[in-house]
Amino acid sequence: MTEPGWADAVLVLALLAPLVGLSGLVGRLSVAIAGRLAQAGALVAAACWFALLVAGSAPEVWRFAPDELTLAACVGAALIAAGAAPAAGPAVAAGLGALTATLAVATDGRPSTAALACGLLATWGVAVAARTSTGWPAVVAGVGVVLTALALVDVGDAGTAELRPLALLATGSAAVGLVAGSRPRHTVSVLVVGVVVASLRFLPGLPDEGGADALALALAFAGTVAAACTLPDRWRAGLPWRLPTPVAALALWALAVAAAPVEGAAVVAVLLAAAAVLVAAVPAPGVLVAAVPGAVLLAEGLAAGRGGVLGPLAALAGATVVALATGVGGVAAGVEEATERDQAGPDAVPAVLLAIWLVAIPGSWAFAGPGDLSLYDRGAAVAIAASMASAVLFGAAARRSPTLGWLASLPARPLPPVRPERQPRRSARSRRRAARAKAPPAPPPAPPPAASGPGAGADDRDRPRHRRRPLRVSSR
Amino acid sequence: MVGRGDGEDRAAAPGAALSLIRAGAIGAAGMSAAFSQGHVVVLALLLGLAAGRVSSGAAAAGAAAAVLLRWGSPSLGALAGNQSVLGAAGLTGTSAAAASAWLAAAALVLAATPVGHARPPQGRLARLGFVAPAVPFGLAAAAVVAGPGPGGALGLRVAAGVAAVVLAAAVATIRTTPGADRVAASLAVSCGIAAVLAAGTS
Repeated sequence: MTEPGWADAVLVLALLAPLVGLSGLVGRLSVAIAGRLAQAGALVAAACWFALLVAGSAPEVWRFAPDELTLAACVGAALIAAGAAPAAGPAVAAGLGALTATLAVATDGRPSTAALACGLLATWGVAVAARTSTGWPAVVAGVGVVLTALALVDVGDAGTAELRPLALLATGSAAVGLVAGSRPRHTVSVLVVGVVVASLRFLPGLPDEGGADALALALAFAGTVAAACTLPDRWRAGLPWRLPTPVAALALWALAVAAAPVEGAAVVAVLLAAAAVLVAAVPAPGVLVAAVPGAVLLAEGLAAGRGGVLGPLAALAGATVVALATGVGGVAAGVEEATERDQAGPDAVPAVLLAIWLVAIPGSWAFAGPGDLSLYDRGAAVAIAASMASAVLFGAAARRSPTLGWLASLPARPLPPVRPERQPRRSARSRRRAARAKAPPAPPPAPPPAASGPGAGADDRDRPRHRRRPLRVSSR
Repeated sequence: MVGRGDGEDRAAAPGAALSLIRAGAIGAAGMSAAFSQGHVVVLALLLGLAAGRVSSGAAAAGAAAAVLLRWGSPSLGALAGNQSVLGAAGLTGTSAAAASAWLAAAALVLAATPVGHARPPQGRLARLGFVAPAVPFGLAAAAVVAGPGPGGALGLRVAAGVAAVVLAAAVATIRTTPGADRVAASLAVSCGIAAVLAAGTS
């Protein structure tokens, strides 16, 4: 148990830390320094939210009373903002502050939907006003945010079992997710956390006979298309759009699972959403492994359940996995060049560590819900231990053996240098005589330089062997 | 010439070499399959990573889905325990269930890949390393079709494991030619899909 005073102080710090990034608006700071300040504020906020989450505390200051899912969402939002801060600066700091503050507001012990709606609109407004989001992404994100806000107001704090507001909520979230997938490490990417959390809270309340199957199928199909849009150009036949990251696919699948009648759907949805947020924070291909726990549990739930919708869902899930694996494999094999945004910097270290934690021990993520992840945890522990041992053994063997060194693409250990044979001592006269005998004949005089143009320093093989007669062009 | 161990070949075909991540996945998949420890879907993911091919991963995923559908549990330990009590999966149950087990095993054997597309290198040790990714595929195939755990017919499992590893190594060696590679990949994915369908109807 933690002391309430400690937790409350950390909560206040977490809420105020993003405001450090706004100092770029006050003073005459350069863009780089303002970005660094915003990044520092976001990282401090992430650390505070994370401390509250790990400590299992339930702080409450005025109207701010975040639950575990909110704490985890705020960690993700802060990590995404930390990645976007160097380019966006004060805008992302303002957006992060607005979103996390409104996420944490609770009324009567329940997260406030009205506050979250206001926070989403404010974040989008900041991104547009600061011109960090322009063109069609701003429009689509705006439509998505407005739809989500309307749905949240309609749903209310207590939730609903009606299809219309929940379908509206899912549609708005999907639109924001698509924009987040197309704009990695961007101010609008922060929005994906808010909309996904809102959907995860209310979509599982949709009854099976109330259209949940159709909504889940539609969202899963959209997720599959989004996954296909991440493929490299030569494999993306017929799909004009290119999504640089699988954020949209993962977010859409999280929404689909939340609405689907799958066993343990809430846990699977939270795990997939966590993977989407981590990929949004670090758009490197390797971070996609964070989706493994969610995918494993989804496969388990699909196999255990019985229903007409599970077959199509399984087929779509398989297609999504193949598309994402092909895209990641293409980047890894060098078929497609990694973009500049794929190269994460030091600010991505916290998100990468969280991704490793999520892959290794997802059962310890208590905020995901009461799911049975013990079998996965044991299997992951065995797999990680065995893979590390075999990698070390193979690497050591490859360094010792030239043949295995070729297989491992590692340089084999070089052989020890051969010592020159010791020569018998000779007199100075005999050494001079031997040196004269070994001396090469005097070189012929060097030819004059052939040309003094740009190719004058070229290799000898490039020079013509004999002089060519220049072509004469008739003046007639 | 690729596969002769000189530096130019390494530089020319970096994707063909066995990275440490793949080596780790091979070891982890082999351990999981040999000792029936862990999660069947995790094993499929490790096999896909060990092979370094999407088609092999898809075939392994099909085999894992067939196991999940037939036995209802993702635990490899439960799979071995069930076979200890009921008998080898390929020899018991309905014809569709047995066919599902054999098809899943065939998918896994056909999905085995060598290290890259090059011809096998010279030297016994290098040849063994060249077909190393095939070993976990063979062990997994044996666990799927004839994999009783302790208390069951362990001799049958060992024999099936040896035979499946040899078969998978042969498939991996054959797959060094492009035509055979395409045929094996198509067959592996087809067998995986057929295993899922057979398990679903059993």
